[in-house]
Amino acid sequence: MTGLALEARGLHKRFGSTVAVLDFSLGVPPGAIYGLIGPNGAGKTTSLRMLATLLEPDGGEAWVGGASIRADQAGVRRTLGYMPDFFGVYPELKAGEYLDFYAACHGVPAERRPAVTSDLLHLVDLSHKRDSYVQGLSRGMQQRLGLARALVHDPAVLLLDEPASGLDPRARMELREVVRELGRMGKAVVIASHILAELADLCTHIAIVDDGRVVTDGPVEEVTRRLHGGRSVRVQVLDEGERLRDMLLARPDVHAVQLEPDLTPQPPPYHGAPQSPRPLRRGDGERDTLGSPPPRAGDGLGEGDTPATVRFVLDGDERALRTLLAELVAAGLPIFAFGQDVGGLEDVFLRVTRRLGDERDDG
Amino acid sequence: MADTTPRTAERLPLPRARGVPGWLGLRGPLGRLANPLAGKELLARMRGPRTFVVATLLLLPLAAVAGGLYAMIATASSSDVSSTTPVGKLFFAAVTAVELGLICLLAPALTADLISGERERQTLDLLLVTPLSRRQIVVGKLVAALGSLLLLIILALPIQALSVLIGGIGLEELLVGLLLLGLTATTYGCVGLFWSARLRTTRGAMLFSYVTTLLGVGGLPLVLVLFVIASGAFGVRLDEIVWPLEWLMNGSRASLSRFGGPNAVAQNATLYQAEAVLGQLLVASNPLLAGITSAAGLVQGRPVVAMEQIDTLDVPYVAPWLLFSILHVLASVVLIWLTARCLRRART
Repeated sequence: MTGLALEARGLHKRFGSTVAVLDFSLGVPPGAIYGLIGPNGAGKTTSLRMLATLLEPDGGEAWVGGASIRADQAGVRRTLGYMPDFFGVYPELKAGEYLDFYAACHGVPAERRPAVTSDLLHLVDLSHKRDSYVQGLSRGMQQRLGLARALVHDPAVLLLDEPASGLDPRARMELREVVRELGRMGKAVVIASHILAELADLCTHIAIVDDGRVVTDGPVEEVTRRLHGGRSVRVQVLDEGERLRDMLLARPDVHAVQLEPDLTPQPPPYHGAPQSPRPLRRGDGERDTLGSPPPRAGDGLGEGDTPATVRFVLDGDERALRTLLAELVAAGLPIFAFGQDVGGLEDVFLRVTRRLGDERDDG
Repeated sequence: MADTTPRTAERLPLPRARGVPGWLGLRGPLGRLANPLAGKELLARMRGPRTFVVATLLLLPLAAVAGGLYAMIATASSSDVSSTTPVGKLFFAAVTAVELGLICLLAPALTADLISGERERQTLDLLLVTPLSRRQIVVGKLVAALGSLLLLIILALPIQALSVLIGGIGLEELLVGLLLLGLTATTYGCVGLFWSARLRTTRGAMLFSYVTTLLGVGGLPLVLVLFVIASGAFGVRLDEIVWPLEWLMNGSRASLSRFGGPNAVAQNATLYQAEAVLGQLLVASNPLLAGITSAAGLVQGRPVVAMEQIDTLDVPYVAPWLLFSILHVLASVVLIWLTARCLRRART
């Protein structure tokens, strides 16, 4: 890492007597997908609007691609793509014209604009809607078009405010794929959301914002480990959930073991009928390292098999994780899924905000 | 002491977009005037039914008035219509006055939603995060709206030009008429734009724009009417107050000596000169009065700028259309500046 794509130090903003942002500090490296998690009213949108030069901060400073949001707003706007939590449309413009217009506003030369527009429509899978009026697009399509709009000038930093709000699960998944691709392209992406599941599967880094402050931030696993005191792990086995739990309880490097009944609806008996598409399991806050959905009838799971999920916290790094997996497999446990439990973000968030709430009550 | 040097500064090889080249890739002052926003707005206006409806709203009453007048002239004149020189002037004045009124009605309607509409559609923030400056946003919006208004003036030109056919109107008068119409559209368009940026809703902006336009166009004539009423009711001498208007209309035939004799004029020379200047400025601030007095000046063949003599008093004269142009260009520039300032204030 040679530098930060975005850096904020002690930003604060007040509206009358209401403190919207108290101390917003953040460092986002290039290529990071940075999730800003916080409840409604935590100050996420105000912080993003300050970073996007739409609001003058009362204090503090931030740099986007090296340009100061106070001293070089034009420089910030050249480097930054901003997608607000709403989608404003020009009803009289078509999707292609919409992107072309914003590309022109960003100073993209006229001869390059058709290619830029085509590439972006392709990226967000809207090439077939180029000549459709923006107003006629579905909400999901409009959100993706909004993302394309934020990319017309090839910004190094993207600020996305509640990008998936109001989207159906499929549209959310498609949007997530695009954001992931942007991260792979080396862009620094900051996503504000109060829906943890939206970020859990996507972000490389998180910052928890509460009461106008960044309470904790860093790479997802580091923050999880910091707050849990270890890695949050999830294992799914067939039938032998209790044996797995007992084995884990016997280990000194494992704690907070929880055996959860598997709530996955049992499939109907298999009669050789065509299978309907497999229901989506991603997006529920879990990231697997081995296999994704639990087996079902027709996937090798017998009628009498009962899947069980065990969650626990493991002290140690990736090496400890690998060793544990090897030991469990060697013990003959029928494991079909094993992975870090990023869904623990919810737990992390609740712990942090609860602790702060307690401190406030004590104070 | 905390280190305040940004760690990011000059370290990231981030892409830099080139400066905004403006609409059609134009650079320099022309490029700044004709920016992408103007192009988009014009496209949007031409695509929707609004331009067609507005043009119809302007041309139908104008054509009705012109047709009625022409029929009256043709009926009244037993011989060739083209020989009725003064009637041609009357026709031109009537058509231009009606067009002026319609432009004053249309200008706020076409501009009062320009910024507030962006705010209501939630597209203003998306514009403000582009490298376009606040002034470019304002000018881009205004260029498109004025383009529509100027198109209407051009569309109405054949109706006005009938007066040339009737006779009595020269090219100079026609051009001055167009200038007054164009600048009135520009200024009251800027008024609509200003209120659109200043107020949050289009409804409020529309209301304030029409009130301002009504005061700007009808205020001074209304005051004159009140003076006329007052002169009858309270014995106030109207001619002592509005003599500059009489001078602008009648030129060298105007006289001040009736207010107290030549000695009184000489004693109060500075006061009368100040009244003459103030009177010209007031007349030039109003499109109707400026139009009437400009027409009178052109008929009398008065120079554009001159030192005229009323009795023994030397008074500076500036053609009302020129003074009107200067005042309205200044007002438009100030309004554009204030509008851009309103957009800047939206950041805090």
